[in-house]
Amino acid sequence: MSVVASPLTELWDAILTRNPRHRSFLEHAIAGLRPDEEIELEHLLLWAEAQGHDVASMAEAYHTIVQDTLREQGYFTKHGRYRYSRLEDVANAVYHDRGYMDRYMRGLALSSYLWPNHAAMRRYFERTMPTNRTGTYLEVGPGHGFYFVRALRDGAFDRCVGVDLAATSLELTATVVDHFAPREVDRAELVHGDFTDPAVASTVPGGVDAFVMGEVLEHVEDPQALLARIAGLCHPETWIHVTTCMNAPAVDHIYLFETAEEVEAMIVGAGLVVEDRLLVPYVGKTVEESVAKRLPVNVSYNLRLR
Amino acid sequence: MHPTLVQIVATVLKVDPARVGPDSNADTLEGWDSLAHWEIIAEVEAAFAMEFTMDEAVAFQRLGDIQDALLRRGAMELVG
Repeated sequence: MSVVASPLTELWDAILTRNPRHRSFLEHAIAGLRPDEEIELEHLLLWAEAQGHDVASMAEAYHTIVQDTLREQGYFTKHGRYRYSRLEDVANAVYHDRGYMDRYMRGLALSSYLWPNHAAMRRYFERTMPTNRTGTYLEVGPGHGFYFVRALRDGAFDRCVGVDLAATSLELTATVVDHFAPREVDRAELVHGDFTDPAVASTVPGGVDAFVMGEVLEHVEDPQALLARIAGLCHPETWIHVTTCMNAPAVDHIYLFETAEEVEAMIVGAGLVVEDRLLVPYVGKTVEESVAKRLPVNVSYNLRLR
Repeated sequence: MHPTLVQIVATVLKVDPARVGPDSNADTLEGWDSLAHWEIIAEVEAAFAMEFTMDEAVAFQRLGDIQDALLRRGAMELVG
């Protein structure tokens, strides 16, 4: 039987006070955590506290993402599509709203431990990221910053660059780097802007040795163009890690993929090939059942240039 | 509890209607996940010819909350 350390117990209690019907879900999540992940999660809470966010504030952030996702699922169930389809519709309401983005990203950081789909993708990233590769690591959309800091701390890259549309995400990533990789700060570089904007693109390096883009494709109007841009920055040996989701509504998802085949057709069309992938179906369903019933499916890809 | 509500929840979740009551929720009935939640909401809306607001539907913590909302709107009368 796993003994949960006290800050985590505090977090569970705070989440359940806010949302009692989450108990069963949370119990499964806790049971699925490895002991080292419990410690990581505890460190995440300590980092948040150092930023002025106590456990109650983290529980509130988590509640925000749970309720907002539930709301968007309701919209999707009713209308069969995501609520928004244009970047400008969500940019002001989400990316440029500092208060919301801050809560959203902190909630998302917790979800990478508490939601089975996000946990599976995080583990896949950790398991497959090359730790002996040098050169430049480029991450588009570091979001909460925890993948970025993992690459910085556990990888051997000479330089790690993060580009994000949301200033709040970059600020958060900077605090994560300062807290979790203080000796690696000199190797980190954060760029604010839209990766597809030629002016911003010119500030990031070409010929990168690792490229990571977690949960971004569903946030853009033209994922095909984004994948082509990625291919243009990579060489044949680049480790390319891209994740996305199908039938998975969220407040800022604007491009609806319904099957992995659609995503993979775009990948191939952009001059990339799938080396390996992890498909994460809806809890308790197979991938086929999830696709047939239009339930959320997450997918992580390791790609390379064709 | 209104029998229609009990029947909807029992049918969607495939559980014995005897287990369904005002305090039923994701914590007490297996299978009541977020997607089942919306299936229940859709069935309730169809059965009572009304529509909850998104905020209302997201805030329901237990079946009794759904019944209370229906009673408040006059969409339902309790029988028995």
